[in-house]
Amino acid sequence: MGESTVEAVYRRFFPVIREKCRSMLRDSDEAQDVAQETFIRLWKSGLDLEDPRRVSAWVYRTATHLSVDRIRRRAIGTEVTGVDADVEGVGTDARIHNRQLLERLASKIPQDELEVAILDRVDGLTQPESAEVLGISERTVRRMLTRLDARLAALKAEVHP
Amino acid sequence: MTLRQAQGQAHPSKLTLDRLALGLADAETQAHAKSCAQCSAHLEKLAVLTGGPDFVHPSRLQLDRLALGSPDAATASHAASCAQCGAHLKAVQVDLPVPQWVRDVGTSRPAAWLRWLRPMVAVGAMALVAFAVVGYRPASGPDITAKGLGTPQVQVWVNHAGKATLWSGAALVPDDAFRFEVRPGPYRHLTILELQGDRLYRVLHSAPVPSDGLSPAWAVDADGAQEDVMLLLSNAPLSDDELRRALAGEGSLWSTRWRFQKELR
Repeated sequence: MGESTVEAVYRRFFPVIREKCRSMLRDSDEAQDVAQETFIRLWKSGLDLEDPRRVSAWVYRTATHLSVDRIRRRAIGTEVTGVDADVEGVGTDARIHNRQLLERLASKIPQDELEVAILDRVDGLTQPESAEVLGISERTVRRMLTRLDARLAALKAEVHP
Repeated sequence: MTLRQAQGQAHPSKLTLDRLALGLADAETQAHAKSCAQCSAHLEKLAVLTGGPDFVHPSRLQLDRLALGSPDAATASHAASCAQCGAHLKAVQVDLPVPQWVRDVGTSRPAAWLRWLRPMVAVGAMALVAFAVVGYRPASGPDITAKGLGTPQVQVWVNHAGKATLWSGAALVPDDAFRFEVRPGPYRHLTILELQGDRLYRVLHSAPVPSDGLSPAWAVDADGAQEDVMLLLSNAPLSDDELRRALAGEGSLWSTRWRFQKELR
């Protein structure tokens, strides 16, 4: 059984939360804000903190949701100016590119689809992992990614007819 | 599946094919690729380029789980010999100084799962009592309101002096503990708020609805005349904005509010 003071919980979990938020949000202040909010929610959640699988899934889900909420609020009213490539790839460069592209298109993509997209295309989670984190079936994850690809293709055609 | 049928269907994305080529098995894609000339050609090309699945990195989630203490020999062995994954592990295991806002969060957290109700539920206590649907108001008049679409059901268990019963609406006394049992209907995520004077005091709980529907339990303290709790059901964790709107009575979230009067000895 680990220590359960707020300081010990912070030392153990905050670096993971912070890195997760940094991978989704380019603005470091914003990433820090979301990481802080995620940590406070974790502390108050009543989750069993001795179960790393459950806690990590919870952290990924909550941090992703809070980040997507921020990204979408920021994107409202922003004009889509460039859909220059597909959201694909597995390397670090591809992840950064995917994050930037998803940020630009955030206002055009529904919240739940964007959450799946970030887990799959930015964090590089496998589909079973994304399904576990979001508490949905793998089939639903696949369906949402297919819808995302179709949406991106349509946006691309719209911007570059 | 014939070649013609496969080609008639939508092709998997390049990413899905790339993952398959990297050894991340996906039966559906595998089956498609076997019978689709275009996709199998893409896979063959990748096999030449990558030389096989040996260099596949674990996902960030796997690395984070390892860092948090989940045993995973394969991931640990990979990270030990991979600069990129090793760097990520190092980044999530740094020893951070604790800032003041952490200390301001408060020292006590809601009790983790109390065990006292599980056996009782397991032996069929559920069968003994009808499920109290939200909106049902016992004669003693507990203050319950509900709002939103769908037909979730919520009931409250109270542990008084070591005996757990469905809440009758009677006042609670300090050291009683209560917890919710939820049948979430179409919803997946449960948020429980503690209110003070119609304003959010703190988020007691935010997590997917567990399979047994039981929330954590909270002990009643001797402060104040009532415990005012709001329960929200959604399909994902709530943003600050969604919380604010729910508290203002706006939006379409399914919510129910419970006010437990306290009898102070």
